[in-house]
Amino acid sequence: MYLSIKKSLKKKRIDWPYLRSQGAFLLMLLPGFVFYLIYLYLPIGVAVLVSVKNYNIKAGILGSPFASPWYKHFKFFIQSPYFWPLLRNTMVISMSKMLLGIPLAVILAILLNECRVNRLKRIVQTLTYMPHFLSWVVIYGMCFVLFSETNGLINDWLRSLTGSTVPFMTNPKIFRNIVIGTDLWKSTGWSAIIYLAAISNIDPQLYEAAYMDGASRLKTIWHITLPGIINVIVLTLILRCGTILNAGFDQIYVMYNESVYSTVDIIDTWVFRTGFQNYNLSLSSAVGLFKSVVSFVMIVTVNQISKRWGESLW
Amino acid sequence: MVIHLRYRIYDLFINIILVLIGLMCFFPMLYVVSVSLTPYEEYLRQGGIVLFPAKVTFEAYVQFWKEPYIAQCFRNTVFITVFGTMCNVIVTVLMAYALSRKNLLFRKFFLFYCLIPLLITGGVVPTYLIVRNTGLLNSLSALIIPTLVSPYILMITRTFFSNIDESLYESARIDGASEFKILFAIILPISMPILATIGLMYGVGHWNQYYASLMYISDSSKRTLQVVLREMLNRASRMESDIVVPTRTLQMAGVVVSAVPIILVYPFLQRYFTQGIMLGAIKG
Amino acid sequence: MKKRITQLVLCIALIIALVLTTACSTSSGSKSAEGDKSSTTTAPKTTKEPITITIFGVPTTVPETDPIIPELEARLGIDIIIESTGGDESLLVSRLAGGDIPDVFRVTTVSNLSSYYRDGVLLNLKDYMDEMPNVRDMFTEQQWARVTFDGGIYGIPRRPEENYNCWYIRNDWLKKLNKEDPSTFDELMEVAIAMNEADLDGNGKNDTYAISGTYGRAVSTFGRGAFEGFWTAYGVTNPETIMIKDNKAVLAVTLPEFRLATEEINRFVKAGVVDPEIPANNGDTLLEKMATGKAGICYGAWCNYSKIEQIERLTSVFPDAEWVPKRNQITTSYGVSGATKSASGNDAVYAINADLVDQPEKLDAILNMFNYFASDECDLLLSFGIEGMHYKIDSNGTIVKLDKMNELTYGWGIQFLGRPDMLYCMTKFDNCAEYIKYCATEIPIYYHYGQLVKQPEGINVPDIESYILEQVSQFIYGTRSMDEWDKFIDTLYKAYSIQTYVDAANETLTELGYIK
Repeated sequence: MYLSIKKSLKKKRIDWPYLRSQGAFLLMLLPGFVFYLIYLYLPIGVAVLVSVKNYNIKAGILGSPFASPWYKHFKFFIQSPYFWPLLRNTMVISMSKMLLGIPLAVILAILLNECRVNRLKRIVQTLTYMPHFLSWVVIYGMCFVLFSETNGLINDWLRSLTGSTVPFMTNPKIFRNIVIGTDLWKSTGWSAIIYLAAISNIDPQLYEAAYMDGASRLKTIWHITLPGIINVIVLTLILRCGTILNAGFDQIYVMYNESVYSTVDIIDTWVFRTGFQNYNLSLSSAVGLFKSVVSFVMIVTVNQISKRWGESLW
Repeated sequence: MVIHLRYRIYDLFINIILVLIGLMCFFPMLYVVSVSLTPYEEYLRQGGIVLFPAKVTFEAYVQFWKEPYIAQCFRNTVFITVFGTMCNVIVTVLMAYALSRKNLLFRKFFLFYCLIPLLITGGVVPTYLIVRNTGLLNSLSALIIPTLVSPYILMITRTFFSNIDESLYESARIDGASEFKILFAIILPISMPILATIGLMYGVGHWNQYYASLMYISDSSKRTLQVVLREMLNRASRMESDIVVPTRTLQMAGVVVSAVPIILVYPFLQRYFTQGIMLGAIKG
Repeated sequence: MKKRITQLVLCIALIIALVLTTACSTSSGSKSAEGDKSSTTTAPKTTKEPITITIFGVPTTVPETDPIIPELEARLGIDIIIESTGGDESLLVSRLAGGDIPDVFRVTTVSNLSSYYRDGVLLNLKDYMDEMPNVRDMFTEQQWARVTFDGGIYGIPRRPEENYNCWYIRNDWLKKLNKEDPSTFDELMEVAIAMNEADLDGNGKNDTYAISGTYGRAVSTFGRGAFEGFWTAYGVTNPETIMIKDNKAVLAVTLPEFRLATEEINRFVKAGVVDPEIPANNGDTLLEKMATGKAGICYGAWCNYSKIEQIERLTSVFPDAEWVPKRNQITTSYGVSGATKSASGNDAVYAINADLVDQPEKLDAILNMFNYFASDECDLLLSFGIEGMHYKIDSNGTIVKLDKMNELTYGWGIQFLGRPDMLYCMTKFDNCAEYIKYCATEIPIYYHYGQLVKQPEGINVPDIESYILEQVSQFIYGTRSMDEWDKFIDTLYKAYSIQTYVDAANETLTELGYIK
């Protein structure tokens, strides 16, 4: 406000329209601002405090004694023999989901946009969106129908063809691919929606002009569709990097088992086993902060890189 | 003529791929529905592979509808989805619009302010503490207010708004229109695709959420449908002689009941995703 | 123009106000924890309103049609609010951490109970024992010892359940193959191989694995695991558990017998008679395998094989399928196969909020309630329901089940202090009576004690447990060679510091009197 007033004074005439629109902006931001403060920022403060204390229920957040040393809970996590495997598994699963998921969703959106049979387009769009609503428990059940070594469809077929079977559900490496694959199957249609929305925001006149010029359809995609949605793609990529250490707790908690721990046990499942089933709040807060720091570094790096293409979050 | 033929082949190719993708999703969904309609004994007899039910029974649906408090929970879910999404969209759009304007004072500060919670979240317990201290516990608003704005969706909306041609604002401003008028009379009408998208994202988020409901609401009659579903699905993993283990058919019926209403919303929103192109078609 | 803006602002303000007011009105209108605080302070003034008691953490959702809780309320003259969590301890953790302590709450493990005690949340019941004589007399000294910390009593235990688990076998297949019920591992191997090769499901495919079950964290109504029969036959419990051997606490996996047992399982795996995806199985998939004739020998609880609805499911494909408990126990020179059981019984414990000291009236009502729970009259109500509706008592004084009792599938959740288990199961599941008795009385029980031991500082017990389970599954399936066993045990000592854990266990178990 002060700045603006100064600015208007410089012009020797108060710039009423400018002030009015700034006032409007503030009004627009107000409800969200308050919400952010209370429900997003306050918990962060609480979490930071809890992570450096030995949380005691009766004493509350402020009254609990500080942990000695203050980084005790961080140390406990980082010194766990599971730390590196957990970090690796989380990264591998999450990265694969991201690096395969975004291109697949973009391709699906473009394919749908290219389709000129309106009915087919609508049906496929609705169909691909439906798996988003299945619970993981049910998807795990369906995986068994397909991949089980004893009575699964694929192994039945392999058995009659080759006589041997593939341990889809218990081999750590193969099972990791199943985890990634089912997630892609479940979420691609859903994530394509945002790119579809972006495509429909592209000025239709551009397409007409290209058609007049006799550009091929592939060229149109390359020169009009993709550039038109590239900022949304970059945006989702950057935002996804911010949650790089969330590899999908819901899914993995339902699907994993001891024989595949070596590849699919992730940070969140570990925290659930150690921090929640056994009561250790400070530890789970510390791990949460650790994840946040990694996200922060990731997002800043990716944003710097994407600035070179002229896209940036800030 | 040659171009025409090339176009035909291209179209055919696209359609075939789409049909394949569609089938990949269609068969599993068909499987879910078929299993839910098959008697459990028949399902076992088929070795768990039922694509078309030979015998049809609604037994599983009847059974699912007997889960405790299901009718109330269904109502609650519909309520928070409709009302919650309305609040979400209004607040998000207002914020995103202000953030997208280049002449906003302290723009960088506000941007970072909205960005940081995307990276750092307080976690379950600290959020619970705040929800409790703001007096929301055990009310449906605990499922609406603490998720009023999603930082992720806010950023996406903002990006969409910043893509809008600057000249549109200029001409509006010369006409002397206020910011609220620009937003509601000019920007929103041409932003239907993004409004539909974020409405859908928020709506589905509300529909599918179960953890907040489990966490903040202790009264069984105020919970949401997903909690009933989860509880039913989890029942099989209990060591207790009394439990009647939910059959696979019951599980599938639960999934169908709790997904179909929200799936039905989609075709209604679909026309907004193609709107841009339709506008062009009219012009041409 | 200005009008428009003000209208809009008003609109938004209205929406927010609306949301906030609904929030406030619903939270104050409902019987939340805050609500009853005010009611108890105003209660003594005029007409006595019934005291409201919140019981948090009940593992089942009590349906709206439930007649038992209203009956209980009427008998005691109090209001009871049941808050169910599905047994999810993390909900209690957040609730307590939020400083929102329920009147009475269910804690699922003793080790968590000790953490809550340390934080000062729990009421010391020692001085109130005289007010609940029934409860005091219901439990043995050792059961009380579990909830005793530094001389105070901080929880009310639950009566343990009987053993439900044993090996089940397809009796009709045994007959078809003309085999005897095996009583040594060699005989078991012979039977298993015969089952594998005979193609008894008749689909012309070599896809039967005689032995199946579940493993590790996939706790289900099918019990703890396919290999429990193997391990107990060698006198050891599940790998990740603490057991007492020669009057000393040890981790089962570190015992030489455990290695022998694992080698035995490995032999079966190599012979191709063990389901290769036991770790990935859960209750559903296992039932499907059993019903479709893919397995013939499974370890599990009677309720999964002999309850009426389960029999229906298991015979849906092969009508003459007959799953029966294996009568001959497998014997080795180290032990007899049986079942493992936690010495703490059913772990769940009910605790009372320490702050209630300031509300003597409410506390009295709660103590009185628990005392009533421990009475015979209440036992009948919580176990069997309402006389005339769910059960009747015939002229011999025995309890006879009426049809409506089958609707009480949620009943176990509100049996706050447990139940007279044998009588209960045999009445409710009268068709399984024979098996219930068999599992409870004739199966050797091997106790483990891990749940009693508090996690020592700097040690991460869940890490130890998951590492052991993961590695043992690899040894079983041969993805890691048995030659590396010593290296594995070595890692346990070095990287996971299990010695500290075992020392802590020794200390606790000596205190509790399990080690003399």
